[in-house]
Amino acid sequence: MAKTPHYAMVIDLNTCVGACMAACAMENQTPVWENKWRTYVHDMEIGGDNDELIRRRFFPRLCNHCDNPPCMSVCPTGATHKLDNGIVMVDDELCMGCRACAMACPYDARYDVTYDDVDQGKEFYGELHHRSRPSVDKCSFCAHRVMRGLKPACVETCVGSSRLFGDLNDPKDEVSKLVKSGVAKPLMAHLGTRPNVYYISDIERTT
Amino acid sequence: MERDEPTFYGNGVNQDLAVTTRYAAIEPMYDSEEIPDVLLKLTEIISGKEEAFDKLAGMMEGLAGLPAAPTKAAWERLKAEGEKSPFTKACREVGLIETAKRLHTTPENLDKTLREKGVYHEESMHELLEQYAVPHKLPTTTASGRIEFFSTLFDMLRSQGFTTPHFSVLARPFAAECRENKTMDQALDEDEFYFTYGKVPTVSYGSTNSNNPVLAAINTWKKDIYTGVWLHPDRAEKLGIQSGDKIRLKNTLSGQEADGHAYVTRKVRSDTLFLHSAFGVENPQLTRSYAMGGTATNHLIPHNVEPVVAGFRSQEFTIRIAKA
Amino acid sequence: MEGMFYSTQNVWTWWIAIYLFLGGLGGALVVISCLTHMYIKPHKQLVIWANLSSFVMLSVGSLMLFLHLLDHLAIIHVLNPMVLVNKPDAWISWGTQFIVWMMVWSIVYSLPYMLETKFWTKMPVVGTILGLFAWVGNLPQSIHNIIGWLAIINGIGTVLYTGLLLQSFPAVALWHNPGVPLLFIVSAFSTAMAFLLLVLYLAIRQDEDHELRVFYERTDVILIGIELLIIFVFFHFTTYGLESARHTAAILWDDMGWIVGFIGFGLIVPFLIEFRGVTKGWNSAAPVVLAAVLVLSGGYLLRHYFTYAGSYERPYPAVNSIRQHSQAGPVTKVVAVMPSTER
Repeated sequence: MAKTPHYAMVIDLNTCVGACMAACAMENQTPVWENKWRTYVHDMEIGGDNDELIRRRFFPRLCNHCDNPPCMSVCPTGATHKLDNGIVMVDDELCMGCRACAMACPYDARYDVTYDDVDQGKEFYGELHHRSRPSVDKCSFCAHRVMRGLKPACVETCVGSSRLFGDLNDPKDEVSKLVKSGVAKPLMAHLGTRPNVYYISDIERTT
Repeated sequence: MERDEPTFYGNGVNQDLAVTTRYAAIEPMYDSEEIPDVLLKLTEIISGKEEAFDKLAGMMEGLAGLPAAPTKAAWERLKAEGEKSPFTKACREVGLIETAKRLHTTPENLDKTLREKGVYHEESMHELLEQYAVPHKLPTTTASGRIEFFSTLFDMLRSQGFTTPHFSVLARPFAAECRENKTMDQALDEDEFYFTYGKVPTVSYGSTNSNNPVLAAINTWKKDIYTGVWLHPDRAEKLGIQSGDKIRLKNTLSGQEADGHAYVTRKVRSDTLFLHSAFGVENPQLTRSYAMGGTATNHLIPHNVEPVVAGFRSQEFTIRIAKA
Repeated sequence: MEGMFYSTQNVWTWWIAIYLFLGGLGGALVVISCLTHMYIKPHKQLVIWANLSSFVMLSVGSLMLFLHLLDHLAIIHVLNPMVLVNKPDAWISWGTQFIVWMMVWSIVYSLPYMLETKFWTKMPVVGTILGLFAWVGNLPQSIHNIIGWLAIINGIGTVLYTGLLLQSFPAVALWHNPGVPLLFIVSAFSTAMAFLLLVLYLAIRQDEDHELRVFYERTDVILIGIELLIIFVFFHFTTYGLESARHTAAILWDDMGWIVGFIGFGLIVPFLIEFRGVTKGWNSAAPVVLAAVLVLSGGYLLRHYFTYAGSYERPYPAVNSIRQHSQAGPVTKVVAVMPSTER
């Protein structure tokens, strides 16, 4: 029997131009009018000290789908839960919106979906709108797509092939190889969250 | 983002020989029409309704090789079916058939491959080199049979009277002229900058997709970076300008003036201003992009045509800025 | 990744500070009043005052949380006691149960004494309801003590919860350490002592309570002293440690509200007043009353600053946690985003 997949994402910061926010918003119907997104692409300026090259860096971020998710342990209702394949999900039927998860998340990945956002979403996204309840929402690695064998919307739309999505339990998977090689590193691993989103930075890049 | 390209063309970036085209990612907004259809209507106004299509399609056949007769048939059919931009769609339809024919494949397969992969590969770079690479295939196709750094085209143009240095038969450098009676070596004044511009991934200038609410939301989030005039902190400090300050820009050559907001960043050279060319929309019907503000590049870039390929000399001037 | 950004949050603000303050205070009130009544000096009035005040405080505090929920109906999932089986790792689950059952048992514990008081039995509506529970007054003493202990255990749980709640957020150095629950427990009991001193001096006003008042004052002095020591420990912890803790230190130790307001008037001044009261005594109740009011204000300020000064470290600027995201200005390697001016 095939091993249960353990999904992870690798983001190559060298090729990101920040195009995925819109694809994610449309797929997951986030309240963009309130500047609430499941994934953000920061537009940063890095380097520059001691005559180093100054670069513009697009820095995409999203829920890290931690193996030890602090947002899940603090969740009193069980709304935040982890699937066998590693994806951390939010059940908006259970979520009461206490925001303990937002406080616990080191990656600032949680955001409020309010009653107003639900109402306005109906207008904004029309008849296809699927949100019915408020919750403290976050990225789901597009679990609904992944389960149909598709890639997350942000990966699908990524023009620079900056975002890769794969299975860490498959040694032949590109993502798995990049993670194993050490080129792709997680954010703030010292917190013990065991994140599943890895980044390749300019300096680390070998190819 | 919102249009299907009317034609199929070579893949410019990759060194392999391949065909590509553009597929619309989002629905066109409002009652916007495709450019070929707009051009057709203009031709109708200029050349008269009767002859317009044949003239335009005939010219396209001559220039781009798109056969006029089947295009006309498709256009008339699509028009009768009530299609929104029938000319563009007709070009696309015929283009797909013709390109497929050339590639010895079916239009369906070509379309499918392009949708899935973005390009249709004809030959890889290596196969091309194998066949055409110069070291293996000497003599070259030049008049002398050797590699020539000489333009026969420009030689011909010179004989037709185009004798300015731009039409030199040998590749030669040109000093840019950004200021009157001043060379590029001369120092800029304290408030004077060279100018360059670029695009944002979320919108093309003035198109209706600039009003797309999701894209507009991204622009709003990055408003300072996207709509601001980029300015190096060393220069900004001397001028007493901070990020977000309203500034007045003036083209020293053309005298054009525009307002903008400063975005102070080290990502731009200290002698140059940078602007994203997507903003400063002036059509109030495009409510979101209109509200976004920003500086329109056409308020700063003069009508200054480069003589050889008739492109705009859109960066050959300097700009003075001051706190508004 | 190069450069980290430090930012405070705007998710849990003053209303959580009130929740934590009233939760700790209310929980400690129940614990102290029940223990006093059972083991130090039987004092029915004190029990009624403490437990009913606690009930009001917890109602107000929980209301703060409830009003700020995104989906009010879903609260049913934490009110259901099965939550302890389903989500035993979440402190809000325990906290909600502790609060609910502390409120229930402390009121049940107070019922017999309320039934003896005309003020309550003659009150419209309340009197009628009390009448329905007259049988509680006839329960044997042993059962009554068990009810008291149920209230005490849930009270301790509530006090503990207010500290453990913040401790469960690992990204923030100021919160994620065992000092926080300790500090909050000490502070909760200290503020509860202060509150009871106010009750004894201003509401009950019996000469026979002198010894009890002295006992509370002494305990409070000790608790404030310990609290000062813990604050010193936090000073050291935040100043010489993790970068995010140092960012917290930069916020706290640059804020007069924290230094003068909390440490000065919330701890040192009442400590000195009560210390003198314990060693030499005061001629009037006024200084102790003043000290008690200061301690209570300090109790709120402590939680206020703890919620605001918790600093996250991130490799990108914050978006969700600060309402007005701004990228204006050149980004330097380490950006300090100060807490919002909302407070």
